[in-house]
Amino acid sequence: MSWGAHQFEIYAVQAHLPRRMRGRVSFFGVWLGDFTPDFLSKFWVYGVTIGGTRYGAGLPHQWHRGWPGMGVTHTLFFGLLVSGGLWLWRRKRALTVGYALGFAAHALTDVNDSVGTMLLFPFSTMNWTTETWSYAATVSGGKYLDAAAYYSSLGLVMDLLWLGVVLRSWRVLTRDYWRTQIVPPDPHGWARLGRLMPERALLALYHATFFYGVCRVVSCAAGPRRRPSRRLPAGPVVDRPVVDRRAVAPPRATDDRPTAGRAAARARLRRGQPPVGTDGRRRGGGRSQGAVTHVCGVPVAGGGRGRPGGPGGRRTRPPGSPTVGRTRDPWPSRSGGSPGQDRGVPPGARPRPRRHPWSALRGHGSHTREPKGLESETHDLILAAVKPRHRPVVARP
Amino acid sequence: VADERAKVVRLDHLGSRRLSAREVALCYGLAGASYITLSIFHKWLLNWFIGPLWLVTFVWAGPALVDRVRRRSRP
Repeated sequence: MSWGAHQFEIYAVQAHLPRRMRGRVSFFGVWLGDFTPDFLSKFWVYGVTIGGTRYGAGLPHQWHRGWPGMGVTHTLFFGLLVSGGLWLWRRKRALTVGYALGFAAHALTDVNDSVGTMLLFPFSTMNWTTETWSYAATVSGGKYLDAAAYYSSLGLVMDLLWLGVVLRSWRVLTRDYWRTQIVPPDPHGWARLGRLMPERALLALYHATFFYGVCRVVSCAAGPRRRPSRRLPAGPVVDRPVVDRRAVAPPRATDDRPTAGRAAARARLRRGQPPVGTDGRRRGGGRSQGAVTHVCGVPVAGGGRGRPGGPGGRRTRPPGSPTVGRTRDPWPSRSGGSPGQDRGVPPGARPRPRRHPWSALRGHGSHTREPKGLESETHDLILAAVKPRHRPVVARP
Repeated sequence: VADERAKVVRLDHLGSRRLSAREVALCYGLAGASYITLSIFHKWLLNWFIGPLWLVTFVWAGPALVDRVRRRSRP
């Protein structure tokens, strides 16, 4: 998802309208169209906690962008549908066109994260993505982990890009532009507000979304560095990996051990020995894969790779026994023990080779089977990183 | 006539004073600085509703308050 980009793109759309459409597209329409997708779906993505109980989506990315889910609110089809409804209701071309443009801008911008949007819905429920940055709305991390992920990746660049586009067309923010291009398509709306507010407040209202976008970018990008809040990790977040392919990467990326421990682990790896944790026990089930213990400093529940309950780790239960809650092995087919055992491969049959999750990311093979029993939050994170690989990638040379 | 016209230009449709460019910059700057500073420490302030309202309140109420204080402080 995009954070500041949506705030800036409404001005960018206004500034880059074709000449014959200038002064004929409703700013309120663009604004409403641009924010409708998130108004309809995002409240449940992060959820709310009341009395210690969290109410929200179990799989945020599925709810937000998937089908079944509210992913339909991020489709061009839905935008056209609502625009058609607006036209039938109000018969205002400026509002209808503005709404469609704003909606399309939102849906197309969201293509850039690792989950993407269903651009061809209802003909296809595939999510189209360029995977420019990671979608990191998770159950445990919530809004703040998402912000940290976004602003420690190319998401920040995206926001700055849109900000640059608007600043390059700075005239769109002037009072003259507002009077000549913004007010005429919405005369009734601005007149109604003008009965209550002075002109400077009306102009501030027009600038308010831009103001909020700038403040949000600065605060989110700079805030955690200056003072760690209770929810954000201490220290800089910019150099910390977040939910993407690095989340299942070698130990140094997401390891919570002290530096000396990491150095020792790297030395052992160079010698071909498995890494050893601070408690002296071996980490990993032979292959040295980093444990997803912390994402951006936020401790992640459940077993990561190389931990009990995690892929490649020690088995804490006999194969085939029922699993409960977070100790469930998320990827039984790739975990320790005999491969294929969990899937009922007949004795004597050749087991399938173990595949590293990265193999799909690198294009060395296909990772086509989704893991079952997705309950742990770690798994959510990993899924957010791996799942988009099933989907077609656009805009990649 | 020139004074009348100047007075009309300085007032908007509700009779409120139009701000000079410097005043506008000051209002927006103060609003931005205060909002960013506070929202760094209190993330809940980064809100769709509070953010825009913050600016509108600063620009709307700020100059009005300053004018009122100035009027009162005049002998």
